[in-house]
Amino acid sequence: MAPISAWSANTWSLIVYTVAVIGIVGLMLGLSWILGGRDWGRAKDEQFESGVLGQGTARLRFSAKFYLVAMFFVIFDVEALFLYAWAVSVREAGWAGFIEASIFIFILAASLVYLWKIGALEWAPASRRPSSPSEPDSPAAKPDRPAR
Amino acid sequence: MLDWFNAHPHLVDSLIESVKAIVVLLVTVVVAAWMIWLERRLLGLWQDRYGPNRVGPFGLGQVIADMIKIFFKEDWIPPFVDKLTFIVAPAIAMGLMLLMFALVPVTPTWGVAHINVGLLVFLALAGLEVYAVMLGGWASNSKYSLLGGLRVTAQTVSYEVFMGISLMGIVMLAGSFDLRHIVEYQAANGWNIIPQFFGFCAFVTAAIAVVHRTPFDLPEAESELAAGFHTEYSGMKFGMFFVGEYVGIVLVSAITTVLFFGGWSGPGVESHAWLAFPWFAFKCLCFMSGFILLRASLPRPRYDQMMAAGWKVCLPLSLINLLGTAAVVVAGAHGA
Repeated sequence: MAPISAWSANTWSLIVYTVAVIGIVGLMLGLSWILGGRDWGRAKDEQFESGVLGQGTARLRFSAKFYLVAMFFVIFDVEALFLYAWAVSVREAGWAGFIEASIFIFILAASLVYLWKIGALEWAPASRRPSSPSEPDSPAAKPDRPAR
Repeated sequence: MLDWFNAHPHLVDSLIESVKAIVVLLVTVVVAAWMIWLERRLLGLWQDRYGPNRVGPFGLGQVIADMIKIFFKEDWIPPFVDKLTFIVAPAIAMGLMLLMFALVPVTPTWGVAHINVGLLVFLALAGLEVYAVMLGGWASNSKYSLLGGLRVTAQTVSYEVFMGISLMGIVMLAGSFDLRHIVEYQAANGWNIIPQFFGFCAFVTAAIAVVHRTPFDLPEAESELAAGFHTEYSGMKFGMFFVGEYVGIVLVSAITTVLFFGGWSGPGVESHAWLAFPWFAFKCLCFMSGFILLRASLPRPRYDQMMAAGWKVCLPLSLINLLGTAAVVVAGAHGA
């Protein structure tokens, strides 16, 4: 790394900018802590749940769907990273690079179609999806159900 | 005195650039703050009411009044929260948005950072932005906050996947990640909005989802989640999430201008260099107003519809756009 005296003017402007951003954020947090009032209220120590008394903790077990989305993100964002490297060198890579990238994209598109087909991108549980007559537990597949 | 400055041209350059950086930062913050006023006025106009019009001329002083008021609000940290994360989250929300603005080339001579991988840095910082809402939602230790935080995390990561891919068409055309280079390419070859129209559609959708603005503000859907991830926030910490969102709109408008609408270039800029900033500001203002118009006109989609739109429409669309652009660029360089 170059010695500090040789850093370009732009490096300095970026450093000053970053420090100033941290300063502004710190100033906003600090000033409101100094200036703000202090008060006490009966229900102030409770979580807001629209006026209803809270039950249990907020450390809930939540839908596994969110983990799935996170995993898809990792898979497809890594794909994107490889494509970034190709995008900037697309002229140099020529037709050979284009064909290789097409194969790569095709494989990932195939995996997207697969995820789509097995219903991994759906949010409602299989039994509650509107257009799935093939599902054994959907209401449409139970004609013997008594009508209301 | 003058001799000393002449003897240290490098130091003087650094000083001038640093002062410019501070000016860019302050202007960004001020524009973001007055964007709140603009939004309220425009919403008022479109909803056939006045909006804030009492404090100062045209209600322009409303922002200052609100800011003074919010500084004197209690800096309340509820006893049930995870204290450190609770404080850090709004700082990330606002700080990262401001940091990203360093990458924007405002005019040929103004702009904080000249980084030759500017677009990559932008995508990286945009990726970090998710921590603000995720940590804020989790640290609040409240059910509304947790659900809002989870929603916004899933939404942001889903839309980030193709946000980068939708921009790669531009990188191919310009052959560089350098935002300045991209603007100069457009000044010479026409705006990217025309060859990259599908990339533009995908990018704007992704950008709105990542800054979680209406219509993609499901993490804050009042009817279901109270205020979502910032339910337990109040005072200035809420204010930082709030201002951070407006900085986000300004930033997205600026980045869209730079990437798709030629940045500072426009009629007359070659002969009159001072026109560069007015052009840039005008284009940004159009986009900022456009985002407000979106809020005024579109309802929220359902959560599953929004996620489906991302994975099933925008991701394939940006992949096809990428391949199509690549084919054209390679054919142009090597012959078909």
